[in-house]
This record gives sequence, C-alpha cells and structure tokens, in this order.
Amino acid sequence: MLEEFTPRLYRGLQQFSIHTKRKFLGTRQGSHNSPRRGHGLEFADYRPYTAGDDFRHIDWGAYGRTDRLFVRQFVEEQSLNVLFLIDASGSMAFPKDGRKFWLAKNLCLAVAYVALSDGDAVTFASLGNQVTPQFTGPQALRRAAHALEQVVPKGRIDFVNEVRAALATQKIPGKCFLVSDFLFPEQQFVEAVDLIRAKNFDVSVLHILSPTELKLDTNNPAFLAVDAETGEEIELLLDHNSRKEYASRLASHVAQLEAHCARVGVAHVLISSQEPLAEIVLTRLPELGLLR
Amino acid sequence: MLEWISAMNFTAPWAFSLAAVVPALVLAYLRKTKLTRDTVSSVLILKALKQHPRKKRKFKPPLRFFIEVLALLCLLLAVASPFITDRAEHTAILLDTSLSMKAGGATENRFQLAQKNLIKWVEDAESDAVYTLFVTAPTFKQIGPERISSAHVLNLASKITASLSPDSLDASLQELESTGRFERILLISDKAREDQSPFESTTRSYQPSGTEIVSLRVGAQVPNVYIAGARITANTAPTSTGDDASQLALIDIGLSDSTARDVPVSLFQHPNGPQGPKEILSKQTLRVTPDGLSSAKFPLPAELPQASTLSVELGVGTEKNALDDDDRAWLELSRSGATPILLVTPHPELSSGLESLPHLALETASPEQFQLKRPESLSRFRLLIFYGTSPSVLPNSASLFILPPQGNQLFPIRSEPTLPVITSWSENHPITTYLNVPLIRPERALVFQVPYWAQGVMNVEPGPIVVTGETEGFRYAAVGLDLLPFQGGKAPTESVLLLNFLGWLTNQQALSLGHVPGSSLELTGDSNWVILQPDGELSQLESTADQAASFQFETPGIYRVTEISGKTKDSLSKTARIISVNVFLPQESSTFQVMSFQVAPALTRENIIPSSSKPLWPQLVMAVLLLLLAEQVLRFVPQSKLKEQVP
Repeated sequence: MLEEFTPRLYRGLQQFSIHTKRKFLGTRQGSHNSPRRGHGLEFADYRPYTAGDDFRHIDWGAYGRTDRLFVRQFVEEQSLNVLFLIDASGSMAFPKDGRKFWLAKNLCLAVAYVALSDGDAVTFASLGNQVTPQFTGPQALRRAAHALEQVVPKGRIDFVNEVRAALATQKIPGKCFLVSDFLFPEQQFVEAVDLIRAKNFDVSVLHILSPTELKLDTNNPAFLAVDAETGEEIELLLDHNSRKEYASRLASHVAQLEAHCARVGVAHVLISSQEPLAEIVLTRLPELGLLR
Repeated sequence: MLEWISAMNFTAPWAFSLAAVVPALVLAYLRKTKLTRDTVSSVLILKALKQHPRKKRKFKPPLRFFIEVLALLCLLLAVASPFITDRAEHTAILLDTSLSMKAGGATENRFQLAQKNLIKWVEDAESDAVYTLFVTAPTFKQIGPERISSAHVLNLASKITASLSPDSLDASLQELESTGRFERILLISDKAREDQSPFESTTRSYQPSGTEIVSLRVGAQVPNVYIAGARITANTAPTSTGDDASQLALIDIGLSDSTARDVPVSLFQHPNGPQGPKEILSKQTLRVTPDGLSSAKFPLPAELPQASTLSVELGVGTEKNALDDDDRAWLELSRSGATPILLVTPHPELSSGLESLPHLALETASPEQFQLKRPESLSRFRLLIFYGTSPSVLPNSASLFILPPQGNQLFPIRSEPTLPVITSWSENHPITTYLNVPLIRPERALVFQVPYWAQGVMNVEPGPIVVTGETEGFRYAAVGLDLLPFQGGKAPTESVLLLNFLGWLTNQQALSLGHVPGSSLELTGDSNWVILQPDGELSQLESTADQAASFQFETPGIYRVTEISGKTKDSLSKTARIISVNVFLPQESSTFQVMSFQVAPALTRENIIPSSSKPLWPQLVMAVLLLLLAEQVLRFVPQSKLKEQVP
C-alpha cells in the first residue's frame, strides 16, 4: 500500500503542513494557530490586567504609555483535526486498472502524513464503507494504510447521506478533504460541500478522473455502456461528433463543480489517475496552497 | 468493355447460387457491430450525448466490410470459372503432305492443287478469321505460330512440300477435334471420308462433335506403278534353267491402274557404295496386274561381294506413272538378313500378309511339326508366333500368342464377351504406339487371366484382351484379337498393332516400324551410336538406360547404324545394323484408288473450355488475395482518437 512512499517522499512531506484559511480549536497542543488565547509564541492581543494574572505577562511598555496595566496575550497553537472523505462507491473501481481508487487512498495517506508529522489528528471516512478511528503521530500512518487497504469500492451510495454520517463522527471541525470522481449530478456535490461547510470544516475538493474518463477513448465505435453503480444501459454509436460532444459535456460538468467551489471559497483540484503521486503532493497541492 | 463482358462464359454457373449466402453474412455483420458490452464508471456524461436508437441508426459499415463483400463476390466469380472466348473464328488447316499428294497430273501434282484450293478458300473466308496450320506427314505437327492471319498462313503453306511418308489422317483429325480449340477444321487431302463418295471433289462439312470439319478433296485418278517391297531371300526353288544361285532378290511390284501392263525391272550393283556409280546386274520385264502384287525374282550371282549395295529400278518413266519416288528400292546383300520368325498355326494360309513384310524371314509350321522340332532348332528364330495353338510351357524365345485356344495353360481364357468394346488401354506401352485404339472394333475378343509376371495392356469390359510380360529373359504377349492375315493398309489399325507386337517382342533388332522416309529409329541402352546416311553424312547419337535416342529417316537409301561404345557390360551387338529405307507404301502409291479416312466418334464437349479462350479465374483469385490482404492491414490501423483536452 505504501510502495510509493519512498524516503525521499517522506522527507518532502515533512517540509509541509496543512494550510487552513482560518483557525481551528484543537484537542491538544499542536502547531496550528488556534482561536484560543493563551500560551504561545505569536502575540495576539492585550487585555486589562486582572487580579491573579501572571505579572510576568504585564506589558510595561504599554503601562508607561498609558499608566494602565495590560497583559499580553498569545496565540495558542493547537493540533488540527483533519478529516478525509473518500468516495468508495462502485464508480471508483473503474476503469478496471484500479488506479483511480488507489490514487485516492494514497493521496489521502500522503496528506495525512503531513498532518501526522505536524501533530495533527487524522480520520479517514470511506463513504459507503467505514470510518476509521482517529490517528495521531507519524507512526500511525501504517495503521491508517492498513485500514484503508481493506476498503474495496463497490455498489451505489447516497453520497450526501454518507457525508452527513461521516461528519457526525467528528466532534470538532477542522480541515476536510473530499476525494471522489464526482460522476454524479452537480446538485449532490453542492449539497455535500455545503454540508461540510455547515459543519465549519475548511473543505478542499480533490477530483480524480481516469484518462478514459477525461477523454472518451475507445476502439468500439458502437457499444452498450453499462453504469458500474446503477447498471443503467445506454446504446451508443460513436462518431467524431459524439466524442466531441462528450468532451464538451465533461468540461461543462467539471466547470459547474469548480464554479460552486469558487463561489463558496472551496479549493478544487482536478487530478488524472495517471499522475505520479509525488508530483501531486509535493508540487500541485503546495501550488494551490493546500500545503505549505 | 461491353463486348468483353458479352464474350464471357462460365464453366460452372451453379456457383452463383452461393451468392445467397451474402445476405446472411451482411446480417451477421450488422449484429456483430452493435452489441459490444462495456462497463463504464458512470453514464452520467454519456447519457447527455445524443443517442442513436437501433432502429433509426444509419448503417455505416466500415471500409473493411465492403472489402470483405467484394472479396466474397470475386471468390464466387472465380468458382464460376469465367472465360472469355475470342470472337474471331479460329480454323485449323490440315494439309495432307503424304506421298500420295505428290502424284502428278498433267500440269501440277495434287499438293500444288491443294495449295491452290487453300488460297481460294482463305481468300473467300472472313478477313478477321485466324488460322493454325498443320501437316500430316512425315509426322502430324503444327507449322508456324498459333492463330495467324490469312496472309501468314498462305505464306507458310507456299513453303511446304509433300513428303515421302505416309500419314495417319484419322489420328491427326481426331487429335485436332479433341482439343476443342477450333471452330472449324479445314482438311485438304486426296483422301475421302469413309462414307463419302470417293470421287466426290466438292466441299463437304460435317459436325460430329460441334467442330465443323470441312473436307476439300483434291486429285483425280491417276495410274501408278510402284515397288511394294524388296528383300534378299534364299533360293529355295531353282529355276528350270538350272540356275543354282543361292540367293534371290525378290521385288514386289504393284500396279494402281485398271489394266495390266509390262513393267521393265532392273537390278543394279553399287560397287563403291550407294553414292558411287551403278552397274546393271540384271534386267527383266514383268507382267504386272492391278490385283495384288507381282514379284520379280533376280538370282544373285555367287561372286557378288558380301558387302554389296544393290538397287532396283522400274523403267516406267512418267507416263501413266503418277509417282516416281516409289520406282526405286535399295537392298544390302550383307545384311544379316530378315528376322527369322516361325509361325505355328494349323492354318498356313494366314502367313500370306506377313511374308510381304520387309526384313522378315517367315517360316510356317503346324502344331504337330512344332512339337517335333528340337529346342535347339528353335533357338535360331527371333520370334515365335502361335496362332490358334499354344505349347504347354513358355518357349525359350520371344513369343506372340494370337487367339490361343481354350484350355491353354499359358494365358488362360477367362471369357469371350459378345460385342466387345475396348474401354481402356495403356497409353505408354510400346504396343499402343502410333495406334488409334478407338478405331479397333473387333467382332471377337478373348479375355485373359493375367499371369503374375504379366500385365494387361488393352481391356474390354470384363478384362484384358492384350497381355504382355517378360520372364526368364524373354518377352511374351497374348492377344485376343484376330490379327492375321496381315492386311497392311486394308486394316491399318490392326496392322499397326501387329507390327508393334513384332517390334516390341524382337526389341526392334531387325524389325523396324515402317522403314519409310519419315519414320524413326529408337536406339536404346547405355551406348553411343554412329549412323552413316545414304548421302555419306554421319550422325552421332547417345542413348542412356533411361532415355532412348531417336533418329528420323528423311530420305530413301541404305543407313548403317553402328554402336560405337557400350557403357555397360551387357551392351548390344557391336556389328553394324543395315537398315534399308524405301518408299514401300502401297496405300500411298495406289493413286488410281481413293483412300478413305475415318472420323472418330463424337466427344463429349460439355465443360470443355475452348483452349482459345482465356480463363479469368487466376486473376479473380489474385484479386481475392489482395482484398484480404488489404482487409487485414485495415484491422491493424488504429481507430482515430479524441484529441480534445478537458479544460
């Protein structure tokens, strides 16, 4: 499962940390700025001195300027709760080279390693399958990989409900990565993203498609297409116009997802399943600001 | 193009019925192209495409489909075996170039008359007709190229001359007719069809098998006197004048005329060989009658040297003598003589025809006399002929058994069918050489049981009527047909068969088939040969165990054949064989009578593609192969792929 996790990849991942647009409360001390004021390195604010405050925190400079006693407050660094929502429906198993779901799992593991290295807590929810326990510490990566290895994508799922169920397991918000091929109506995507946002998660969308889904590439000019999840059948006689139309339709579908993400300030990343894992996590995600 | 198509015919038009399978193939193709099942991750985007319901879908078969259909149609056409027949009329011209065509009229001979008739006929024919020219003698063969114009054929015909050879007009005609190549055969000859009035000289055409045969008979009756045979024989009956010459020159003279005449006959000696001057030895006048042959006997002086070349001439000139080539004959004194043959039969009169054969010293004996002969006395005979009788054991000489009796031990009789018809024969056997077997229509035939050492050569429905074999170093043959008496030209087919037997049984040692100009001598065995021709020229030949050497006699005279070196220990005798070649052709020389020829029974002409036609199946098969190759190439050309990128 972790075949592509070379020492070089590990070293690269250790340089990054997960970036969020806002601060989240954590369950323990970590490396992320939290909304809480407390002990930390980063100065946050002043507040009037009250009896019992540690006098070492009195800002004597401010007293000299104002003749009033103020205490310095610092941003408290806490751990981040990271949630990975991975689509484990039947469409993720096609094409049959299995690369799409494999990439989804390994991408999540790689980003999870970044989080675990930073002291963050990581949870994996295979939509339609299971929710793993929370993992902490870099050593937990293997256990997380083992848990994901048991997941086999199959069947048809109610995407929104599965997201809702996965979110219900989280006590505190944090960073959420939503990973899928999103080959379902845009309305479901919008509902799912809004649901995650409603739970105060900072959500990023990782949209994975295979090359044959990106470009309709088949040697059969006429075939009976069967949906892997619903079993719905469609007879098709492809010609040059058909292929052109498919490309246009797919582009339109992806554009609609991107448009919604842009509206609500959610990052959307379109990934081909043939892209190398290292390139995605070390180059593309940092370029998009998901990792820093 | 239309003309080309209209000229097309088919050998197997039933093949077009196979075209009924084409619609079934199209249906199968349609079904095949529509039902490839493919599971995809989601039909979300595909659903949005414009769908093509099966019923409304246009059938747009790929190029490969059309190539496959075209290949199938070409294959069907090839099975139908089309051919294109050349529309131009193709005539075979068969010119009789046998000896009889040299018979002279007042101003021109028969062959010149034939050439004139040919010119007139060709000029009157259609201008676009094409011809192929054949001659009948010395051998049946084509002259010049195939399918030539009228001008070309007249040019070729003007260079041909009649030969000194006989011909087999029946066989030549049958061979031409059987090829199916010609719409017409034009026969120009002095012979008439057997059912035709012999003196009818107008054009007759008959169509026994689809090929029109036009016969132009030329030549009038002209008298002729000729030498029919000449040999040296022992003088068994000294003349009343007390002539005690030990050898005689016996000259057979024939007359083709209505009345008898006196013919001067002279015998000459050539002390310096055939090319040197001649000295007259003797002369006599013989009264020759039209019926049969008259024989002149010349006692030979005892002092004649052993190796003497003699010649005989008839002093008749050209008056009432149509041919002069048959008025001279050559004899060689030192020849080992005629081949001694013993005819054993209860009917000695059957020897009459055989006695006239050159190079044959025939003796007869009754069965009882034969039984009394001592075996040592039989060894001098080169061949024993048993007619109607048979010894109990095989003799120690080559033997021919003609109509052996029922109950004979050597070639047991199996049956005697009524109305026997010859159904098959061995074409490669020397017995059937030069033989037109279908013309043998026996009234009686004996079917033999074949001994283990022999084989059947000629068969009727129940079994073989000719059996040959070799055992204990000798050749034997049994024939269930009546071949005696030897009738020569009166029964040509049976005569050739008998001569074939004599030649094969004696291994051609002294009995050659027709020592006439145009005939050939086969030299067998592993040896080198030298042949001294009458004009003094030498020819060298080489024969091997597998392949005989052949020499054709072109002119009359004395030929000396010497085996120079044998390559194996059992080579033939080293002494020179003396072969006299003479124009002894009674049938050809009988210019006062009209010879007849036969037209063989009609052939089945169904499904025979005229050889002038051009078959098209090779081109169609090649087209099928090329189309299949193109179809295979197209299979490996990748389908075009989308190049658009997702934005």
